[in-house]
Amino acid sequence: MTRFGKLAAAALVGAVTLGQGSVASAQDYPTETVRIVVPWGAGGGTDTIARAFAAELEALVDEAVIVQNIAGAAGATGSFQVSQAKADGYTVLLNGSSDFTSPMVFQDLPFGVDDFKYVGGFFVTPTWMVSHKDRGYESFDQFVEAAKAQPDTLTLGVGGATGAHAMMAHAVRGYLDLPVRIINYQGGAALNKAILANEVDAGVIHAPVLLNEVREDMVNVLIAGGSLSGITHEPVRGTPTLEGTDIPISIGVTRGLMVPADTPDEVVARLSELAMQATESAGFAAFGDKFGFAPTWLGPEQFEAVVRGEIETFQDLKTRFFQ
Amino acid sequence: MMFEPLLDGFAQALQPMNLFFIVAGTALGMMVGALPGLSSPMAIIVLLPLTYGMEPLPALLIMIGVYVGTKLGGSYSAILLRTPGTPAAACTALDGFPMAQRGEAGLALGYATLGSTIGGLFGWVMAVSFVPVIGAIALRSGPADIALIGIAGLIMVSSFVRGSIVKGLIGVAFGLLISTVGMDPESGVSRYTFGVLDLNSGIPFAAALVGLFGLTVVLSDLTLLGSKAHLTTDRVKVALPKLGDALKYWRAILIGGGYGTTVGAIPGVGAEGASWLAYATARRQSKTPDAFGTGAPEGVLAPEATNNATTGGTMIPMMTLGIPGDGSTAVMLGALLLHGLTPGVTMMRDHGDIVWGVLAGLGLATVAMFILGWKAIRLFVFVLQQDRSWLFPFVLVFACLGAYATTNTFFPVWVAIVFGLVGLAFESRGFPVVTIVLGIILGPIIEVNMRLALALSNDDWTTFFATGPRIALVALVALLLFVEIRQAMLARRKDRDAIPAEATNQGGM
Repeated sequence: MTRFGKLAAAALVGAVTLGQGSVASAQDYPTETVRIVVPWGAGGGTDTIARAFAAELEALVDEAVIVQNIAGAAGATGSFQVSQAKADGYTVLLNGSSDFTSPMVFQDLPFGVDDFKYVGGFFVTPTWMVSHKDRGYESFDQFVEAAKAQPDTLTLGVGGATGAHAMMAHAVRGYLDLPVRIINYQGGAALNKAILANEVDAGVIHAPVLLNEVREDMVNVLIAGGSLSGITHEPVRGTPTLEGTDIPISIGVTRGLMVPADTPDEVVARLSELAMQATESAGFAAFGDKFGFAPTWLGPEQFEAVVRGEIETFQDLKTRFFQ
Repeated sequence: MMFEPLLDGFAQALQPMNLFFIVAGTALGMMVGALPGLSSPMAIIVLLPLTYGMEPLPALLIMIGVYVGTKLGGSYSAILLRTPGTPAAACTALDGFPMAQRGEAGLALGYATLGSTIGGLFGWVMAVSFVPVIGAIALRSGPADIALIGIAGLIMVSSFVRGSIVKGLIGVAFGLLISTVGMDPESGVSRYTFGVLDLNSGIPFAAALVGLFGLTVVLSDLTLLGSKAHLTTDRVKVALPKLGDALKYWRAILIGGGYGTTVGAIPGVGAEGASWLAYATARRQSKTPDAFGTGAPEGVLAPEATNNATTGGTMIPMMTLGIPGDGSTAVMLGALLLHGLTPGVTMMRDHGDIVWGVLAGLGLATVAMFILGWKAIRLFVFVLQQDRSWLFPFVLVFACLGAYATTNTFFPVWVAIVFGLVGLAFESRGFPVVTIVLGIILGPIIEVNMRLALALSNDDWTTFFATGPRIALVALVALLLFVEIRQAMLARRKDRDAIPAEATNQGGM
């Protein structure tokens, strides 16, 4: 055997052993601390959900599961770091689907959908359009009629120029040819205050934000981007959806887990199994109860389909309805 | 009923660990204040990474302690060294140092302690009374109101800071320029990011603050390395004046408290401008104005009451609007964000317990400051005499950690370093860095709210005159600008008149 041949053989043996090693490690994954990266600051919606979820996941395994906030560049910094991380299943990105996809549609990012493997989604919430009671809109139809009666007068607040809120608002305006003015607030908290201060005719925000005010009958729910069947407040579960109103899309945010694209399939499968158990645990159900919305599990393929579908929808909305 | 939230706040702040943090923070603040060159925002920046793992309330309480403590600490070096420990104490040196020179150092320190405490409590009462009222109004304020308050704050900070208004305005404009970097709030277009992903959400203001307040100070103080302070007297013991003696000067205290609270409550101005204003007014109102500058107790009481009263004043815009009154509160706002709390008009509604806990802590810190200043002064005077060069490496390390902790990436550390150098360049040319900071912080607040107001009114500019308060704010801004421009023109005319006279003189030669 030549020297080169020996080397090649050694490399082959090494590769086989390594391969076996990764299978073995997949079975008892995790054997070290799992780091869940949330690409947003502490205290926001995604962070709150992530911390509750991480606690349930940690209860299922012998290792620590920590949440790390890597904020910046509207979620891009943390996402990019995970895409570049070691693909061993110990660095996991936790993000909301539309928070992850809309920057891809509106900006040049150094990463894309194909840089990740999808572990699964565990919290599916639609966006909803809500209005202060004093504005007097009891239903979406009333809002539409009022908007048509006074063109370019009614205001529709959203929590940012792009993202799920803006997508839904532009879809409503574009598909129905509705002459409303879309007002861009800086994030959900500012929009939340604007709706309560009765500053806008209606606002599009993630459900179940403002649920307490809905319960106290201060705020009316007009229409939802998707099904509200998981919400804890029974009277609004049957709220009409966009799809039921001649707008053939659904908009919301699915919080889910992603890992770097090169992560071994066995590790992804194991993590996915653990994540499903965490989602369906009693503890996480109790969190959902407190949060106002019941968690739902989406498997890897379903979650990936949601992400890819959103990109298609957003791209379409952008070319048709955004100037 | 009204006092219930405040009592709850005290119940939280008085928990043993929280109380410990308040007292420890206050002691630390007094030391930092006593050391010339080290400032309260800098000390709070150093604390940022240390408090990151703590609950939000204890983290804020230790910062509040530092904030309050530095105000009195600054007077120690002003009185004993004639080098004010903090810019806000510069005024105290005018009368405090002459008193120390004629052997009344203890009495001067006593007046400073008493003035600071009474002023602080005055400001605290004002904060506790006005925060809930303004908070309730703020929740109903529209974007147009917030934009106008921001603009008024910027105009005031540029006219009140030491030096010329032109330099102040240049600093503010530079800050505004920095704040335009990042995604356009309306259209989502990236501005001045040059394709750098990290700049998409703008230049992180907490990191810029770390640079401007932390690194700049270290860089500009490098020349002082190895120097030790020499005191006017080595027998330092606080001689608290009899309450009756101090109350003779009630007018100076009241003027100080009033100026401190109101100027503190105006976004951006802070203690520095306020103590000079109070000093000048107290002198005008005094029966013995000629004694000022030669060691008059009133000359110590007025500025010291002022700079502590500002701690209450600055709480009002910070807690109700999310607008900082000075550098220290700007850093505290950054700390709030780090702890996942959103400062702004919704703060009172969503985190009322923290607001009241902090306000209770402010009162307790003032009391702690009095006791420490009375009984433990020797410790602070000892610290004052030490060479502080060994502190600088720690400041640098903690400042960088604090910047890193804002996003858990290295990018903000670079930002802090760049701003440290920028700050040094500005400071050495006499542009106060606080104007840049206010530009950076108020810039986005003004931009976002102004564009929102216009979007809501369908681009109708009259929305800025639509209500009484808005008209008042616009009038205030116009008046301030008018006064400043008139003064500048008068000064120029004087110059012009002077030049021909010189020219004729020369011609005659």
